[in-house]
Amino acid sequence: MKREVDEAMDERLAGIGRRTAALRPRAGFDDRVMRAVKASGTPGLFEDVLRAARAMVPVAVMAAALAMGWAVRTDRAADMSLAATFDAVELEW
Amino acid sequence: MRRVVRGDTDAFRRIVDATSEGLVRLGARIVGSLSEAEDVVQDSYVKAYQALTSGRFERRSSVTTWLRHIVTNTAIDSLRSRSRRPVPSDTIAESGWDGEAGAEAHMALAELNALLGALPPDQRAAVVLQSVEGHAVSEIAVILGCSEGAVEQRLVRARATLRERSAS
Repeated sequence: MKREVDEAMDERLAGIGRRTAALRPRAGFDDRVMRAVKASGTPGLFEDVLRAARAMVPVAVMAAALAMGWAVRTDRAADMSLAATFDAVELEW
Repeated sequence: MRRVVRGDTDAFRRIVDATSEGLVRLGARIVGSLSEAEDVVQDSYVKAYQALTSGRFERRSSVTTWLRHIVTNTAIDSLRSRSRRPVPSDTIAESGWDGEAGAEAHMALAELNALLGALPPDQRAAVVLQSVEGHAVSEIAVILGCSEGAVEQRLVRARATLRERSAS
């Protein structure tokens, strides 16, 4: 029963598909589309800069990570040399 | 295609000329109105042109399938926003169709609209793509941008609703 109802519905929809095959846009539709496309404008300088900036994101992330690593290493070296100075001062005192 | 990517509107015009008829037919079958379908397809072409010129077309499918994907999604959005505005109704005089074939197509479109009116937009699009446009489930999944399982689920739910409505 369920299958018969589904088959009848499919047949009806396929029939509607055949009957609507004559549907087409009204005359001048393609011209209207092209006017809208041209009015929407091509991407300008801002979009070009944005696209280039988006492409640079992975490079920027890598550079930031390297800079962070370098800063941590330098900071640690500075701490060690500072600690050594304190030790020297204490010994002298 | 390279010329379109560089912003050549004449090259894009050739794509519009070759595809507009089928896309308007698809849009009309989903939204149930020729005038609304023309608006949907026009918006879709603008989106497609902007995507092409800004390098956002990833060539995962053919241009035609990709355009069908954009039109279907725009049509679904249009159906969803219907609750906020009146439903447009085509008249034969407005439609610009000539003769018996045009009148018959107009009547068939109204019949389809009445038949699928109770379905949510995504289920309605799935039914149109399968039973009216004749696409396989795998093609519908590409057009709707979801898995084949999700398409099957939408079709099962739609059939249950249509069965209930035809019984009552």
